[in-house]
Amino acid sequence: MVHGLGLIAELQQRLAVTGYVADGPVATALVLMQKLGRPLLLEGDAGVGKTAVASALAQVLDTRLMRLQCYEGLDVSSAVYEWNYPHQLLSIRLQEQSGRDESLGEAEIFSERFLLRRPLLDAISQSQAPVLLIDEVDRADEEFEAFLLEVLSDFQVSIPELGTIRAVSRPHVILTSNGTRDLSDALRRRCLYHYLNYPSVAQEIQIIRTRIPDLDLSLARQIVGFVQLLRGGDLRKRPGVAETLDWTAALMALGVDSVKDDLDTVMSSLSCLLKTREDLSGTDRATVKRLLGAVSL
Amino acid sequence: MIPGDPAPQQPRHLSAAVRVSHFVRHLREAGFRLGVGETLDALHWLEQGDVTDVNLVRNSMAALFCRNRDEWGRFPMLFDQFWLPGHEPPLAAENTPKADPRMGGTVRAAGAFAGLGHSVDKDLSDSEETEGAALGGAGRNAALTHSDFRFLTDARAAEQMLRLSEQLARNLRKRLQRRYARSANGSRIHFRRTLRRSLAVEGLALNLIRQRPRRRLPRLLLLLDVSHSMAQYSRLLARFTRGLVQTLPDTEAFVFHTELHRVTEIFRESDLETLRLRLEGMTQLWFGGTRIAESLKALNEGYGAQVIGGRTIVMIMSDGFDTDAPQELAEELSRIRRRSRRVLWMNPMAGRAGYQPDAAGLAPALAHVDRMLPAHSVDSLAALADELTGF
Repeated sequence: MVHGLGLIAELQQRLAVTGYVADGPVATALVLMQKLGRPLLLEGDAGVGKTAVASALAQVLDTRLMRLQCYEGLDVSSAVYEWNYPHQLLSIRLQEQSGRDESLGEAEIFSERFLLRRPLLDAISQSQAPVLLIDEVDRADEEFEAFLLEVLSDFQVSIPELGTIRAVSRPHVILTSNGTRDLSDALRRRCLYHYLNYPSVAQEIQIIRTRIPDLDLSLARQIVGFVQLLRGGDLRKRPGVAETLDWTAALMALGVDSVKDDLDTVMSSLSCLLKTREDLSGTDRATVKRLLGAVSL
Repeated sequence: MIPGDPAPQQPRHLSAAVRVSHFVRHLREAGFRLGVGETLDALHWLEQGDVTDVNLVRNSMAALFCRNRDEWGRFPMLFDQFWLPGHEPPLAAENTPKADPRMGGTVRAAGAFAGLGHSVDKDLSDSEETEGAALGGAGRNAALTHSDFRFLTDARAAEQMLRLSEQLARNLRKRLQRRYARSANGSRIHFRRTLRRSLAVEGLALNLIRQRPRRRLPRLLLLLDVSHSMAQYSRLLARFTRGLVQTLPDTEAFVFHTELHRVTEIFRESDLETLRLRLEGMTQLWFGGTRIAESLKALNEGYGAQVIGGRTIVMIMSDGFDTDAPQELAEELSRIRRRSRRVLWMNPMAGRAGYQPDAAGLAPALAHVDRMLPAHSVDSLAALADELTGF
């Protein structure tokens, strides 16, 4: 029997190959999720890599990633299924005109042929279990959340005209939330929970070096040191890991090999990290200079 | 779990089950809401995991037993208390949510906004389920929704009412958008147009015309009194305000006390805990009484037309205890009223039997207010919707 520890180490290794650096707790949660067949609820600030977890997991499991982006007003017809109404009508008309006696029976009109599968239904009818990412579930309405609860506990969908469609395989479900509103206790109880924080300095250096392999170590240290200090400041939107990667790519493209003494370049590329006007205007040359000075090395 | 050595496995396994259920009880006492299912899942997993590795056990139990950020932050401490007595401090710092650096440290202050977020001090001894806490104030919530918020001393009931008040604000938006407009991928079928379009193809409704809610929402200006006399209600009203600010895009929010502060951005903050800390950081600097007239004057002079326009509905949430002269208040209010569509005064005191505004020196001001409404309970906030629809 493979022990939990072995499974976790193996998963960490395989995630690293896909370019996702997972610490122990994340890997444990992912292994647990597969072992217990429960959805995983990921919370954390924007840009800490919640969505990246799902795509890395899909790569590791060598399966499809299906994504359902939630928004206010998301309803069953755009999340689960919809009847292809024009197609149905046209078929009935064609049948009538062809003059054959056997007209389309009701059973045939409401058959799989005319069913438009939306992500949730699609995810449960795959032969190989996909990774189903339900992104920003807190944006969807409470009604939809209740419906989701039903799907996630039974993995089946009832279509009145067609009957119940059971899951061919159980998808690996990852839900993410930004805390726009409180999720219901019922949904939370159904899920495993993980709170993703910004990575530590060492982790972040590892992440950008995994993603951008020809990056010089000392530059990586400077970049991460600066971004981490920036994150500690009073900002409206704190830069996430994606921003660090963007900025690194920008600096590489500009051919910079040390940001320490290159205040001008830093100032002009700051828009890679700060995404609101208030943050950009609030971070002036003096501040940047102070932060750069504080970066060790 | 050593293969080929089954004899000692049985008692050890049994004691693990007992230990884990004791741990679950330990967590329940700390406010976690866990059922038997979680215990079973944990045991099931530990049976196949390597229970000698502390980090593995800690990480997996965190994933299984935590439900939100607050619990996630407290878990490592509780875990170490129970399983590693004597070694509490070495927490895995990386996976405890950090205190917001903007506020410099975690504070669990008992200020006016304490418990605004989900970190109410949970003395929730009963493990009764409140799954699917109803939104409409149905069933056993009914008694709570019309009870005066200041009398709700039970932490869970209060938390539930706070949630409801925010939900109310969010539902208001749907109510305000009942009118429909044509839209390519709306969710409702526009019958009249669909029929008309179908005439071209012998009445066959091939091309469905759809519609979605029309976006014409009122502009709200919320003025929230956060003085001492309002302390019992500011949690309720702040949550309500948050709901409005986050769902109605043109809403502006201000808090006042002895001075006025624009807080729209703070209320947009998605994390309740951060929101609470930022509000407290702003309001604890003030002392003294309430200066409503002075605050409204600051609004008129400092922001004026920027925040008040012909479409604006102004909502003042205050008990009306003012240290400024009543006449000054009346004057500022009349300036606001001339510029805006409607001025509503939401007064928690108005929910009390026998309340007479004249006594509070409010009478002259009330001439410049369209409606004075009670705002002491969730039901009274719900009644507000009637005042806002139709504009």
